[in-house]
Amino acid sequence: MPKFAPKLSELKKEFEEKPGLLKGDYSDKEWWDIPVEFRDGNWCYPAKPEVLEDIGFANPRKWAPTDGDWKLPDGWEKTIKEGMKSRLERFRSFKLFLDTCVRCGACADKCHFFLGTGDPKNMPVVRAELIRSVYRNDFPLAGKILKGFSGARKLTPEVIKEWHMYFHQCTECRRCSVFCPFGIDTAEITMMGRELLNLIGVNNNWILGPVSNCNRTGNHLGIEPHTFVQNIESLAEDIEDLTGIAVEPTFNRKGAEVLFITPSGDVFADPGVYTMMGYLLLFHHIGLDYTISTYASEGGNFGFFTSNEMAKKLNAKMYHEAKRLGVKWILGGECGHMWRVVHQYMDTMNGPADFLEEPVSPFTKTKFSNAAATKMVHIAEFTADLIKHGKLELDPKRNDHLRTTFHDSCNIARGMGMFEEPRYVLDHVCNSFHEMPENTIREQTFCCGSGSGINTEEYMDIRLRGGFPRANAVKHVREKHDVNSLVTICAIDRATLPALMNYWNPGVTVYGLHELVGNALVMQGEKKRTEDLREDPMAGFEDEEDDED
Amino acid sequence: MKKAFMPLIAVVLLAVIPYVAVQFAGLGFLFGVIIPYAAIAVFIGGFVYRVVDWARSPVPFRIPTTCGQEKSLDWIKQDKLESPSNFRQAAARVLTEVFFFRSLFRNTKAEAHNGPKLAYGSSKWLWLAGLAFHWSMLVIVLRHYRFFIAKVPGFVQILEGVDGFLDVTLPAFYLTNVIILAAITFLVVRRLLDAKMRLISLPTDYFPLFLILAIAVVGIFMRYITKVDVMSVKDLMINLVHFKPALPEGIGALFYVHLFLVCVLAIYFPFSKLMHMGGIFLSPTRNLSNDSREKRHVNPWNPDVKTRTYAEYEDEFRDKMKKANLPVERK
Amino acid sequence: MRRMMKIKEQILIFGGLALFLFVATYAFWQEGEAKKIRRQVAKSAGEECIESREYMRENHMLVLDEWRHSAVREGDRIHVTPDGREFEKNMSTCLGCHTGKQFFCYNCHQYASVKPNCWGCHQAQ
Repeated sequence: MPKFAPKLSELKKEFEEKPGLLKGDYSDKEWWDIPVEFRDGNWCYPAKPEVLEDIGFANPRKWAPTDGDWKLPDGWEKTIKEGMKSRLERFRSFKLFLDTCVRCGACADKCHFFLGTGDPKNMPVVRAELIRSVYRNDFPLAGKILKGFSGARKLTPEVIKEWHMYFHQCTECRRCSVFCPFGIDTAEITMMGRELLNLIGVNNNWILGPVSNCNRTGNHLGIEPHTFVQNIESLAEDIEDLTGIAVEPTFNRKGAEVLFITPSGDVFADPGVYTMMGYLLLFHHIGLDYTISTYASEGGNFGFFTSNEMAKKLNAKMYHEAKRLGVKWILGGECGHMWRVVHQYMDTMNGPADFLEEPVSPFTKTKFSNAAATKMVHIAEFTADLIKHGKLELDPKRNDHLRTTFHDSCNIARGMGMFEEPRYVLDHVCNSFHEMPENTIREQTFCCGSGSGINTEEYMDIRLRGGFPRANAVKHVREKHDVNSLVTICAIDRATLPALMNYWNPGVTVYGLHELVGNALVMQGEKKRTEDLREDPMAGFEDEEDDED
Repeated sequence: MKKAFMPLIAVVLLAVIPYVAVQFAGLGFLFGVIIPYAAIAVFIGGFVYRVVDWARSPVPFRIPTTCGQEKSLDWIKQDKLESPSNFRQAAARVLTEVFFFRSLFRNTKAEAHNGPKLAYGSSKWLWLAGLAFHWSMLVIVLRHYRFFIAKVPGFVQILEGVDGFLDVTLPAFYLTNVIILAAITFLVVRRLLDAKMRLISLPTDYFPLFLILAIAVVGIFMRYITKVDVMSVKDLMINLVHFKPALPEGIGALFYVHLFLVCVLAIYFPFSKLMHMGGIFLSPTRNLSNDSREKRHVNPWNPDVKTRTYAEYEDEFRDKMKKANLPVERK
Repeated sequence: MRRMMKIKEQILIFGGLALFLFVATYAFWQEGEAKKIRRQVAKSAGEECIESREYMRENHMLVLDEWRHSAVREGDRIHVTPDGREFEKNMSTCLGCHTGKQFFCYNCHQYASVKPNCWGCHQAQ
């Protein structure tokens, strides 16, 4: 059991003692009277001073949220208020979402953190009120006149603590925005909140560390180029051992047709590496002319969880590298927020990408006209098109040891709208697929509970609670259909769902979609395959004389 | 519940003021002419100001919340309403939101059961009450045009006919009167009964509900019970809209209560959450098409950001790259 | 491109605002005058009405409704005023003094957009 996780029995008891959604008695309390309390498992380590210095962020110092004094810089109130004003002028979403909420409460029970913690400040409407109350105090005219009436309050260090706590108990998953009659998106509020907090040095090392690494080495983990190459090559060796096929990925190669970018988690982290093996097998199977960059070796973008400038800075590498290498278009791997950025921000931030060509699949001649401007194609779109045109030889029986369900990643679902492609692919590479209940999938999907840069060990308590609605939906199909495999198309999912499953649903394993593709691909000249990419035995493919030592 | 009582008392006080002022202090001109003019000016001016103020902030990124399949491969069916790919579809998305509260229609209610287990049930009461309230409000406002236009337009007569089709009571009973009272009652009660709603509600949430409730109740009273001289009321209104203010004699004080509360609502409107009426059209998560990979969206303040270039990267790692047989630009 | 986007957006927003202004101020653009009709009505011939003018203005529909009910259902055809005067419960009683239905009823009813349902049964004179 991880150090910062609550005991399962205790957490279960907590849920059962208070079966209502709201935990605690608030009969004579207002939310703004409830103090914030930092304890083990509900705060992330603040960024190290050297990280802040490296990326030029404010107020490097040693501190912890449990300290009484957060050592905020002189004039921090002014910094926050000016920062707020500047953002109100730059983001219509921010201004509009602060102004138009009617507190109808439709969002209240839609947030996974609220469902998991029962904390009233995790209702999306209250999360926005954390900022709105300060905004009312200082900005619109009427709020000023009717302060007591309109729920306005002063900006104090306590408010900053509250912001820090609750803007890190939001994974910017946008589920509330689906239900809001005005489309108010708490992700927009949280993004602004986090930008403001970063202006005064209230931050999270798990976000800013990767940001600094990504800037310097090209990926979150700070992997230098030679190690990056070694890792992928060792995956290629594993593939050869398993299948007898030598896949030969190239790196930083000029003149390739396609640049392939995926989150670095797929290169280094279990179980992402098996998804990487799936990509490599797929590309070999079809003979794709592609290259992988060590400089733009990160699909994910933790800058997006910090500030839009930082998101732009990190994202810029993709086009920069594509231009340098002279590729025709970019293919992107399985990742959630990476695709939010690529789909909704990249071309705006760093385009126009007029040095690339409109993506065309070299095998099916399909034009990806939906990516005509950004020139970046999602691997699930690419693979679905290949399958549709019969370009892949697949044996779905090879995944018969897996009874699968599919987890829609929040950003792919609500920030891109890709639902059918991954299902189509999954449907063709395995025989057993069961959907989770309808209110927990597709546009109503629940977050893994650890997105947006909070997938750190010391935050386990909150992560396990926030992931509870997702875990609970998996439990449903586990009990009903004996599901044992949770398939995702997101690197953060692959990194965080195993811990969530171990805690709530032991026996459910997390897979990437293209890992299953890799299992199912019948490679030309391969040796007899009896094990999947994880070296787990496949059902029905056992060696007759299985007596090896 | 101080949060609910304060606004209730405020509304009661606001209702008493014009009654006393007109009945006992003879301030008919103030409440019949001056305040209505001020109210309409503040309402229109304030509304326009707020919308223009929103419009002044740009939409830097194309951020629709996609609630359905995007347009992608030819053989995959796009959800044109929930993931619109062009202006027309996005407009349809906004309009169905405005007229039918489509997002609210999706509403679910989460429940925690032993296990622990979460269950989600459909919950359409808020949608139904919200829709009933807003549509009734619209019909009632439009019906009132009969007081503002000398020759009553056809659409108002049609609305009156439809709204009063039951043809019971005298004067004819309007369905919207009952619907709006029922809907407001529901909207108030749900804020009071549910623990979550109690926590999130502010006095500014109760105030407009009570205010509109008071307006409706006084209006219904005048129509069915205490009667006012409709001809004089209309004279007053026609005089007002033609900028020839003159106060007819003999309008009951109750009318001034009704009128004053409407004026308060009009003045309160632009400075409050009631501006969601304009805001819903501008919501960037609903009114933008999901085509940001197909067409470039431009951010007018796209910041210049110093990025780490490949050259800088290679400078730092050149030796290691060479050892790993990676191609380099400069040997 | 930015220019195009901006222009399109401005057309939409200001078009929307114009529509709002049009609806909100619609009444201000309409022709017509206040009737001030009661001075003419006051000229009606005959003795005093069954109730005060103020009362009749606000409640005549209720009086007529009550007349219809008591006369047709209960056969009580005589209305006695508080001061002892008697009137037959009949439309003609009203129109006997307030001559000219066209003028006496319609002018106000049209102005206030209220459709009386008297003339569904009673013949227009």
